[in-house]
Amino acid sequence: MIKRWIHSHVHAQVSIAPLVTFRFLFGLIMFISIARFYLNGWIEAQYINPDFHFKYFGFYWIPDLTPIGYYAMFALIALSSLGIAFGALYRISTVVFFLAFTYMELVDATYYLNHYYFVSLVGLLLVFLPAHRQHSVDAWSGLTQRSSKVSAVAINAIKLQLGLVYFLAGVAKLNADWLLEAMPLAIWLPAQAHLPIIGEMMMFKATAFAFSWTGAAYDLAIPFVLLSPRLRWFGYVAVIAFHLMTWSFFQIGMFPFIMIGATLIFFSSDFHIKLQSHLGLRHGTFTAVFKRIPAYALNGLAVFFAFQVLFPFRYLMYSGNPYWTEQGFRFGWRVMLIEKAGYAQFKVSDERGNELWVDNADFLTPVQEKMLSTQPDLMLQYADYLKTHYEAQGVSNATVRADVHVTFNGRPSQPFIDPTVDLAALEDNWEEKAWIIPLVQKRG
Amino acid sequence: MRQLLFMLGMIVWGFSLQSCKGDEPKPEEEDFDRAAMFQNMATNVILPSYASFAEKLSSFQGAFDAFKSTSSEANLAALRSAFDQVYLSWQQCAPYEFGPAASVGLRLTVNTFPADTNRVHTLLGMDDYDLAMSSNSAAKGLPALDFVLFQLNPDRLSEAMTQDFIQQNIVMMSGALTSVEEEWKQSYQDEFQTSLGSDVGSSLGSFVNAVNQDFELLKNANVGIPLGKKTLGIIQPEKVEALFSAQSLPLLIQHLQSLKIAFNGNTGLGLDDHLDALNATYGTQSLSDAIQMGFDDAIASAEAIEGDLFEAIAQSPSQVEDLHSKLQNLVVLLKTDMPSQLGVQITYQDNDGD
Repeated sequence: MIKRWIHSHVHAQVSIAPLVTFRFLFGLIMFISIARFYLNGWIEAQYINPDFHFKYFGFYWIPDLTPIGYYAMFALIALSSLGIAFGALYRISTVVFFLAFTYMELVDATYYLNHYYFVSLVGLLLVFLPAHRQHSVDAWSGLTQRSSKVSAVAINAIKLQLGLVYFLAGVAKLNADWLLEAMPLAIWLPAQAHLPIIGEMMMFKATAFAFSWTGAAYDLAIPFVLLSPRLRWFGYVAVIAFHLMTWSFFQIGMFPFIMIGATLIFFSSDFHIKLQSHLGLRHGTFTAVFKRIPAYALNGLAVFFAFQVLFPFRYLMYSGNPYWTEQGFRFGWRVMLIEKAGYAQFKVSDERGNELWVDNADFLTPVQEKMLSTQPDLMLQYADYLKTHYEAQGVSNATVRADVHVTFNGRPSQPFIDPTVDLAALEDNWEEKAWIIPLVQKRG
Repeated sequence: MRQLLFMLGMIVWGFSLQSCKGDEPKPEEEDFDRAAMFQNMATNVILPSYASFAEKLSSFQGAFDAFKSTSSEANLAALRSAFDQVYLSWQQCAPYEFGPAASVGLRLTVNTFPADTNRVHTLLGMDDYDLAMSSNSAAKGLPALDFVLFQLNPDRLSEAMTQDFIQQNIVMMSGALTSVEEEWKQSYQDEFQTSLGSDVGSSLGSFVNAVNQDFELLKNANVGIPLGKKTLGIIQPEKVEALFSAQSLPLLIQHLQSLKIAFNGNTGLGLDDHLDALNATYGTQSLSDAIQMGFDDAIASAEAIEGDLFEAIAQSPSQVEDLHSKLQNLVVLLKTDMPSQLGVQITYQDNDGD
């Protein structure tokens, strides 16, 4: 029974068509994303202009690049996206794409987004999936052996990846603020009250509740709905409606389009074969050598997914609300769950206790300052940076403290960290950050 | 699966009905007319501020012409007093550095202080110079005139080169102001009153961010830096605004009052009403009251300062420290609670979505 299930979901040879569509749309949307990023001037604004970049814990060693280096890196991502889309030098393209894209993420933690993490994960998966065996430059030119079939695991791995993202995002929504207070949507939706027709609805708290609950239900249910052949079309219409709606309401960039494109993989191979033949891509049959997926590959895949499932729950190691402390917050599909604004006044003192107040705008861009003022690990990095900067200016044995106030999901602002702690003397690590002040404010 | 979906649907529906019932009379359902707020800000606050600044500049020009023809003590006093009026009326324009003012760089043109007095000296000895050049960025506008009119030996005011410098500054400021006013009237006012979203480029986004930026500038440049907040507690009273005319305190109070009006829209609709419509609270009071009180506290603290800021900082900084901490308390409300409740974005960058 189990053996048969494993055989049909892992080793069985199925049509490669869904994977080809996926490869093409993913590569294309990535290319468009990078072009958009460049045209918006964000390479300059986010990477070149800042004097200082925040890093992820464990990745402090990631070096910043020169302006030409950043442009070159983005050019590499753009080229390799096209390589993926058209299956040109596919293996090299996927490796380059994964490394370059992930590198750009690691350069500055300011720009952390769950969907960038998702793109990196998919990029890594694609390195190992033979999505270029048909309808690709590699196949046409004979660089790779043509095949109209692929082991089922190649397609199911993508489905599992997508399903995990939705489901874990749904699990993250099962918290009191989201379900019982409709926060933060109760703040974000009224900001859209100017929209025609639906705008007026946005002022009602009931609308925020309806959105919150359907949002959670959607995330939890959609993987299963898409898996069911009977409900699939209904599910896909829901995917389109849901993502287009969030796209029109919120400033969330390309993510909705990535998901609308990616979830097509849930459709049958017949659907994809037809889709491709409409584009003049005839689905020839090429016999490929049946290869049993080796155990080490399956184990690797298991580790890959187990990590994604377990890592978000590291927040359980820490006390307090993870949405407030942000300990164990990232890489957990916690999307759209917090509305926060902070104000961080850093103070540098010399050994005689003389104090100076830092104007963050002297060192950080507005986005960096926004992220700094609510994220404790960034505060530690900034304190280190300030200590180095001011000691070079002659402030001896500088200590760095900060008055930080944060408002969270509509609660009145309150102090966020202990203002007496010398942040420059602390090292970031996995331990609990005891200097974060617990959330005490209640909504009025 | 169908049954599951049906159940979920019922739950959502039931929940919405229930919360509908419970919430019906609550003010969070009040519809707030953002367009009317912007209209009030534009027609009753911002444009009249520019008009008043223009009027004060032209009176100053008049007093200057009178002084050029007769350089009497009385005319000098009138010239200086007209200058003080210009400086005061600038404070009403200061919070609105967005849209046309931002593209012209009105604040940098009019009020980059402290003045680089060495550079002003240099310019006074030059036949030909361009105030728009970046090397002259701190040697122009009101701070430079403050130095020329109140610190320079009054005899030099009769010299052609000094008079030329004053005239060039008046022309520069009037020119910048005129282009700001024209752009507002020709196109920006429409745009301002009809862009109703809350992203960075929207009117709400630009407005809130500009007011906050100006507030922080006041906290840092007018008070913090002279108080030694950037120099390990070593006071720098010479960095106050309007150092030579010793008007720093009335200017600061006027500036705070202008910022308060930027928040409450004076007698019309303002951000305070917007927050009230959203039922935004701060502890036991409304957020708008908390912010209004923050302004009143800061203004009262500033009014309690004796002499001008230069003297107060040099002799008894504790009262100025009190003002600084009041400003610090208020900046938290203005930069965290207010934008968060309004749903204002501060950047164009993408957020997480799902």
